[in-house]
Amino acid sequence: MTAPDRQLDRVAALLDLNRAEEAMTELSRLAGPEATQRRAFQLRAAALTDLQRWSAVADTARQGLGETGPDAELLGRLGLALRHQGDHAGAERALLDGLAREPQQVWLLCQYADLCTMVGQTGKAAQLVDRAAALAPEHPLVWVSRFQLAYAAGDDRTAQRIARDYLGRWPDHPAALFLHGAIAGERGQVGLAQQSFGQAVAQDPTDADYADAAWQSRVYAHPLLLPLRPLYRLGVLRTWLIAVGTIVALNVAGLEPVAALVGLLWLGYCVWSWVAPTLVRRLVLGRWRS
Amino acid sequence: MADELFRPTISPTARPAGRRPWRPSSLVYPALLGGAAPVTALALVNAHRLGLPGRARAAVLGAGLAALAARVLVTALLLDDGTRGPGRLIGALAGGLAWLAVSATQKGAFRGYEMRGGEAGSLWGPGVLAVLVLGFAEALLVLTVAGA
Repeated sequence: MTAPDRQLDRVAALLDLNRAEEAMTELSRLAGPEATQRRAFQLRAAALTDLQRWSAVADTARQGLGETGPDAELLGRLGLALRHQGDHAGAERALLDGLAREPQQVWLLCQYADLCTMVGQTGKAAQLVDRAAALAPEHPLVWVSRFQLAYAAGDDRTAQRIARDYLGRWPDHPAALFLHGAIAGERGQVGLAQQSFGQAVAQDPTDADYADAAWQSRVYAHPLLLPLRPLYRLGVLRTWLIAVGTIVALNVAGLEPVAALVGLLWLGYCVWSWVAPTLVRRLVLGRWRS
Repeated sequence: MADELFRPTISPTARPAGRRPWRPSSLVYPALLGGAAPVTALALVNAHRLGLPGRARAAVLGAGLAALAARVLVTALLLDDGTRGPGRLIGALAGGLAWLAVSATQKGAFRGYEMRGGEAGSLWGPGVLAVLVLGFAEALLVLTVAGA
């Protein structure tokens, strides 16, 4: 194995460890023809993807395609970058060019499925996910795309079942833990969300999205917000109807003073539900910064 | 044979930029405070902002009108005063029912919008205005019909 090959292997290993900044530093040390070989472009685009520097990802992918010729992975990176920049039609072109070269590539199929989900073409997205699942049923990206599809359709129950199954297959995968936490939070299961996000951060302490989600979940798990848990769990509509129904029933039963007291408590609860999350967020942020 | 699944289907002008849509879950507040009329009006504006097809808008309008009619009918048949006590509960129920249709038709579209990096617009101004103006108009309608 040559020295540049070893250097590129080191970069790949750094990327596996989610150390994208160090991978970029290592890549910047490449000189001459090694810096412009296909694998170097692929690794540079992957590192920039991890850093979410989408404009640079697109530039690198285009440069790589220009200098080393068509390549499915670089086309996929270009598609991903254009999607994040809001150029959905351009992203589709790039992904289809990639799929024309490697139609059985699970990563490309899932990228295209996610793009279709994002623009509301959920039927096509489902077919693409099915195709990817036929090739690699337990691939983490297939689970993520399945989850995205259910989530985008507003089907939170299915999304939570998928997240649970994903976590069952990949118990330590940070993305599985993150999705498990995200849908638990969406459904008002604050404790479960906090636990999952905490585990995701423990598995991958370098990911800013996981850290941010864990912080947000800490806010909602604060003792001052404990009284609001039933509201988060039941939702506004059900809580409201239960409260107003109780007040009306007490009035109808002739218990006006009790109804007035419940009404007053309900009003206080409503005010607390508006004020408390902002207050606690400031409290936690202040403590976190000090 | 060409793979149908690999045919381009995303057009560059599929999603025109416009005013930010509101979070459909936030529309539950005008529904509970004002009734079916405010939530239906706001949801129709939101459907336009989300670029929803006519079928989804018709579903929202139909559910809103049905909820409003149900409120008027139930209040007129069962209650003397349409805007106090049980009348208010029926109003909140009607608004909640209309909101369920809004949530069913707009939740997915809004999530797609969020996944594309979009942010929700503020409902404070339009929400309060809709509750005051349309909620009052709805209450007036209920009172008129119930009193007749």
